[in-house]
Amino acid sequence: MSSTTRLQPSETTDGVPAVPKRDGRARVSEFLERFGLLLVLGLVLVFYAFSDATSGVFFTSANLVTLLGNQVVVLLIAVGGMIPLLGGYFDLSPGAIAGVASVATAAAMADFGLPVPVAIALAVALGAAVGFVNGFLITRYGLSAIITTLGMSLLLTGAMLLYTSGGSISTGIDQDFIAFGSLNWAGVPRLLFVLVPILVLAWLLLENSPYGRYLQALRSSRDAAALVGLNVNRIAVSSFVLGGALAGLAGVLLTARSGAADSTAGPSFLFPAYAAIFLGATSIRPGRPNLLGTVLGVFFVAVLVSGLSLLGAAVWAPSVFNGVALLVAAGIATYLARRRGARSMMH
Amino acid sequence: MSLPSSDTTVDPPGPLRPGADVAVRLRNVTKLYPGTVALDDVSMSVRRGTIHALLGGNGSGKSTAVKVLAGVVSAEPGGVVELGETVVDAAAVTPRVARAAGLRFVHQDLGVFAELSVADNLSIGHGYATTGIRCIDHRAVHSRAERLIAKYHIDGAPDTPLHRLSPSARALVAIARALEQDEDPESPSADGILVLDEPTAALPTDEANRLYTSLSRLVAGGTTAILISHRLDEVLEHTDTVTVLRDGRHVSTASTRGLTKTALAEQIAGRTVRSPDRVARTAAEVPRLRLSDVGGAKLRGVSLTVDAGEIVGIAGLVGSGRSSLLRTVFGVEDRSTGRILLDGEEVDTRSGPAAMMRDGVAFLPEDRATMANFADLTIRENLLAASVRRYWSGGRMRTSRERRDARALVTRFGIKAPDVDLPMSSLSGGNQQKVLLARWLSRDPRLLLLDEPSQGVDVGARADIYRMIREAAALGAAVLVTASEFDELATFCDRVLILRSGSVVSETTEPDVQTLTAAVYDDPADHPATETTP
Repeated sequence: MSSTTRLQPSETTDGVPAVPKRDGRARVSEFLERFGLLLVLGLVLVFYAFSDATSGVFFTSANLVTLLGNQVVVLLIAVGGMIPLLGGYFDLSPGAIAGVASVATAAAMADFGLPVPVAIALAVALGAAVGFVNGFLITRYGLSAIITTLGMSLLLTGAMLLYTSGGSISTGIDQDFIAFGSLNWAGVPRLLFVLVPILVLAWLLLENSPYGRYLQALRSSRDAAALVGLNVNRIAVSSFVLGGALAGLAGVLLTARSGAADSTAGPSFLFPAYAAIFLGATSIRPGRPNLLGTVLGVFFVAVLVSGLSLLGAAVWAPSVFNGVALLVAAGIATYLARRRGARSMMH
Repeated sequence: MSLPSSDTTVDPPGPLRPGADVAVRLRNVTKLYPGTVALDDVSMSVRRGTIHALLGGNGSGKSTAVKVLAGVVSAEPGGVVELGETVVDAAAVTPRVARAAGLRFVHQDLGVFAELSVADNLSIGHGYATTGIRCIDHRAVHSRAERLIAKYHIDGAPDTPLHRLSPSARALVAIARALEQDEDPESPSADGILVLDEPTAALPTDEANRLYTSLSRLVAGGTTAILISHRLDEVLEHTDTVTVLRDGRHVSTASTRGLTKTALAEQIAGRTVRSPDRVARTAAEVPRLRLSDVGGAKLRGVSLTVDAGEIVGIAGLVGSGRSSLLRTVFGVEDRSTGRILLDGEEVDTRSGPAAMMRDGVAFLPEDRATMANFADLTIRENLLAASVRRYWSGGRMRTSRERRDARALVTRFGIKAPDVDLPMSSLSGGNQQKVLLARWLSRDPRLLLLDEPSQGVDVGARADIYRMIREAAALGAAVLVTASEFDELATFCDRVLILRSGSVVSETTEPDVQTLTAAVYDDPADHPATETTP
C-alpha cells in the first residue's frame, strides 16, 4: 500500500491520472525546501538595507559592482567542479587548474609575448587537457576520482611554484586585458559579459539537455547507465574536460581581475567553491547539485561576508557564518529528505 | 471462482497449549500508518518446533507483522503478542522483549561480512573471547567457531573467508550467528525462534534445498522457524504450516500438507492467477533473431532462432551461460565467434548496447538493484531512461511531455505509483520491476531480452509482468527469457531451450516442469552440488 494522505490522484478527461494534488502543508514545505536559501538571502538583504552600519554603504553601486565582479572566478570554479560531481565524480582539481591557467595566461603574455587571444586559448586548453588526463586515469584505470584529482592538484600546485619560483607574475600583462577584468561597461563589471552567457549555456547543458540527464544516471548507477546504452566512460571523461576548461577560464579571468598571477590564489578557491555547490544542492533542486543553486550559494556567501565586514565583524566571523550556514542547510536538507523517504517507504 | 473469505483460520490439528506448544501468537493485532492499515486485526499462531511460512504479496503486511514481532515498529494498543510465556500488549513489544523471548532475525541480505572469516563472522556481535589483557584469544575464537561449524553443518573452516563459501553455507553462518548470539555454545539454543526473511531469494534451487535440509535439522532439535518466501514450490515442499496475509488481513493458516500451488497463489493474489494458453504457431521464413555458432567467454557455439511474436525460454543452472547469452546478444559481453542476425541482417554486437538499442533490441538484466535501477532518480526518469533524447527539442528538455508520457505508461502497465515524480525507491519491488520493463516496452522493441524478469516479486506482480511480456509479443516482439523457476517457463514460453555449459543441448516445444527439470539436471557433471567451493 503506497497511498499516502497527502497524495490524492484526481481525474482528467483523457483517462490519464492528473498531477496528484498535494495539500497545503506539503506544498508549503516543498516551497520552503526549494527556495529557503533564497528567502534567507532576501532577509539578509532587508536587514542590510535597514541596519545603521550597512544601510548607507551596502546598496551603493560601488559595493554591489565589486561584490558581483569578485564572484566571477569562484562561480566558474564551482560550476567547473559541479559538472563531474553531477556524474558522481568528486573533482578536487578545479582550484589548482584555475591557478595554473592564471599563471599560464600571465606567462604567455609576459614571458613569451603572445597575443591576448592566444594566451586565453592556451590557458583554457590547458585546463581542458588536465581534465582529460584526470578523466582518462579515472575511467581507463579505475582510479578513485578523489585521489586522482587530489594528486593532480598537488602536482599542478608544485609545477606552478616551480615556474614562478614561489612568487607571482605581475609585469608584462596586457593592460587592456587587465582593464577588462577590473572595469565596467554601463555600470556592470565587464567580466559579467563573459560569465552570464557561460552560465546560460551551462544551465541549458546541465539542466536542459540529455547530457545533464546522462550525468545524473551515471551518479545514480554506472552499471545501469551502461545498460540503457550510455557510453559511461566517454560521458565521464567529457565532464572532467568541460569542468577543466571552465576552471581554466576562471584562471584567465582571475589574472584579468587581479592584474597579476599569484601561484597561491587559484587553489584557495576550492573550498569556497565546494561550499557554494553543497549549499546550492540544498535548494532549487534539493538533493543534488544544480546550477541555479550553486549560483545562489556563491552569492549567499558573498552577500553575507560583504555585509559582515561592513558591520565591522572580526576576521574570523565570515568563516564561522559560512560554516554554520552550510551545516544548517545540510542538516535541514537531510532531515527533509529522510522525512520524505520515511513517508514514501511506508507499507 | 471461490476464494477463502478472510479470517478463516484452520489451525493445525490438536489443541495448542500456550507456552508449551505455541512459540508465537498474535491476537487482534492492528497497525496503522497514515492513510494505510498495514495490519488489520490479525490473529495467528505458530506452533513450536515447526517451520511456519508467512506468505503474502507486496504490501500484504507480512513485513509489518515481522517488524511488530521484532519490536521495531509498535502496533496499536489492544492487540496481544504472546512469545512463549511472555504475554504483552502489541504496542509494548520492544527489541529487548523480543530478544528475551528468544526471537532471532535473519534478514534477506544476511548482514554477513564477505571478506571476513567464518570465525570472525561468528564472533562479531557475540563478542570475541579475550585473554587477560583484552586481546583477542584466537584459540578460543577458533575452537568456538569449530564447534558451531560442526553443530550447524557449515561447509567450511574457521579461517575460510565468507565469500569462498557456498551461498547456503553463508546463510547458515548468519543463522548460527543469530541463534548463538549470547548462548553458551555447549548448551544448544533449542527454544530459539528464528525469523527468516526470504533466505533463499538469491539461491539456486539446489542451494536452497541444502539450506532447508539444515533448517529441518535445527527444527527437529526444537527450534521454531518463521519463514517469509515468494517461492511457493519451496514452501510447499519444506514447511509445516502456511499463513497467508493479504492487504493487511489474515487470510488463512493451514497445514502445508494438502495445499496446492494454485490455491496458495490465489489466496495470495486474491484472484485467479491464470496461466495463459499456448498458441500454435508455424515457424517464420526469416526468424527475428538468429544466432549461429556464437561463442564467448562462457558460450560455446550457441545456435538458435526466435521468431517475431514468439516467446522462447532458456532453462539452465547457474553457470550454464544463460545470462551471458542475453548479455552477448545485447553487446555487453564480447563474443569471439559466430554471427548474430536480426531479421536476416547481421548485427555487430561489438559496438555495444547503444547500437543494439538502435536496432530495436531491449535488455532487462537479472540484478535489478544494481544493473537496472536508478533508485534515487524519479519514477519518470527511470521510465524514460532509455529514451531521454526523444524529449529534447529546441534546446530544452520537455519535462511536461515526459511527465505526460510517464503517466501514460504507469496507467498502461498498471504500475501502482501515486506520482511519477516520486523517487523510484518509494515503489515496491514488483512495481519497480514493472517500471523497468515498461522502460523497454515503451520503445516498441523488435527483440526483448529478459533475464529473470520475475525474480523477487510477489505472485500478483509476477502475473502482471508476464501479461506485459505477452502483450509485447502479441505486438510483434521476439522474446528471449530466462527464469529459474521451471513452471514459469513451462506455462509461459512457446519453446524452451536447455542450456548447459554454454551450449544449447536440447529444445522442447511442449515444455512442462518435469521435462525441464529432468533435462536441466540431466548431466551430473554439471550439477553445482558436486562442486566443493566456488
